[in-house]
Amino acid sequence: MTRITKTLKNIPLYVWIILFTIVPLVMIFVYAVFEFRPDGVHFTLEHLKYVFTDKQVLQAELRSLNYAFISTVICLLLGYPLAYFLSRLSERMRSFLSILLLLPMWMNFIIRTYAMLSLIDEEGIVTRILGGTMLKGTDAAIIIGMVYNFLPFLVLPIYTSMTKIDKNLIEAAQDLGGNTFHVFKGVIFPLTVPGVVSGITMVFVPCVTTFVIPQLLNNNAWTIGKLIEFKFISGASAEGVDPDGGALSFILMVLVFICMSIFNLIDKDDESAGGMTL
Amino acid sequence: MKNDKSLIFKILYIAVIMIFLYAPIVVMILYSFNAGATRAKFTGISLVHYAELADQSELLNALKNTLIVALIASVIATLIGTYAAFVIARLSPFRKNVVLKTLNIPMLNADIVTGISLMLFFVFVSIPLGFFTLLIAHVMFNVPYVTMSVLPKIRQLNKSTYEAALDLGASPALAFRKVVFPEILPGIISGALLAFTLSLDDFIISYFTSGSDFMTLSVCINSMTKKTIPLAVNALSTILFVVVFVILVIVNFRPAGKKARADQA
Repeated sequence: MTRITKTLKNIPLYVWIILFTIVPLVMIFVYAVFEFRPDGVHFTLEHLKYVFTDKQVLQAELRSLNYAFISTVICLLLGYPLAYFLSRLSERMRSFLSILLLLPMWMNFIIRTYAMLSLIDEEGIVTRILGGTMLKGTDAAIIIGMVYNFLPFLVLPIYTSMTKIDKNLIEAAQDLGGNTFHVFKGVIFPLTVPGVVSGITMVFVPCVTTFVIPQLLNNNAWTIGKLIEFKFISGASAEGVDPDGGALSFILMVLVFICMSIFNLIDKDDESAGGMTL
Repeated sequence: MKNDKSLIFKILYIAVIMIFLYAPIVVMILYSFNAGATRAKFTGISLVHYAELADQSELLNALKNTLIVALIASVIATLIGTYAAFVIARLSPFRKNVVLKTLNIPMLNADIVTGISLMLFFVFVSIPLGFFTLLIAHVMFNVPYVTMSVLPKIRQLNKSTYEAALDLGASPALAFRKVVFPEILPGIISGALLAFTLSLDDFIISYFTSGSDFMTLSVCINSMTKKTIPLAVNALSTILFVVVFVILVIVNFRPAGKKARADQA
């Protein structure tokens, strides 16, 4: 086969990637700095300025980061021991429990959040158990919703990296006199860092960007995801795209890419990062 | 014994977290069998809400839409994703890296960013939002998952068997069909199943790319959460839960499916 026909065969793929992955991302930037008005297209930095100066927006950004941070920490505190305990069980128990852990992940996100909502709203069982104290509408509801939705996404990569650890390494550490704590600190923990990093990414990014969880569980809390959703859908005018929405999405995109590159820096060793297993 | 105690502690810990993860789902399923009309009281077991489903034309229509989109999108994504895997497998290491990194952006990116980027793109090129845009969006985010599940199978291919087939007089097409294809088929099947499940599961990208006239199930349920949700939703969710469970079991018995989602982060 000649070089040219070989390259020709690759072109549709490149066109596909450019057209449906790169161009749409560029569009976010375009809509952040251009206004499409009936009298023409205007360049403006007004909307980017709005994102950085408007008090409500800044608060929403901080709030989103805050919820995401707290939820990720809780997921880590709950999830790391869970992954560790799971990995220490017998083979049969392990495969059964990891399927059990996977199952909710494959349930529709909206249905899962609705299921959580129906526990903590006016008629919810939890509300009745708490004697009428309704969690819906509180910050705690958002955190609970996030931990509930994303915990399995954190546990699985960590669990996978734990099951990959060579048993001989652990035994060698024990033979050399290490107690459980030493073995954990010297062998198990360092080898699971890539799993931890990919687990954190999988929780933190969706937590920062979600608009469903605050919308359903505490509609008073404005997060950046909810602001964007409002600008584009629920609060959208008939005149077309709200450029403020474009600017907000652009900032969110930058935020997501920053998060991912930070995690990438920590986790250089892409291949060994324990991923999800289906 | 210390060991027994620590084992009991471990099991307890796992059990408590599993209860946390399953309580909402279990309660949702329980109420789907409630004879009463609301969640206020459990008045007895009945299948009345499953029967009600027949009258919920909005929900059923959304379910139909979801299945159609998932089916078509997963077929197209499987074709494109498999083709992409073959292209990528032959690229030089540098290009391979660049192409894979870009192709995988929708896998790593936040769904809301992917959804909005596509929505703005469709608005920009003046394609009205609806079935067609939703379909493109689903194909777009499914492709990398298919590619990632086919690519390892191509890497494992033994070149000699293909060459042997050619030496024995097979045309390249026949050799591909008889030698290469069966080897990568498990990767293609698990990629297709994964794409189908992801399509069924998606909410955020569909929400932004489907417009107001064409609703998928998750978009429909989301719009219902603004008012009191009928328990028929619980019944439908229960059915879906069972379906997902069955798919999961099938996929899990196909070893190739295991790694497909692995490079998510």
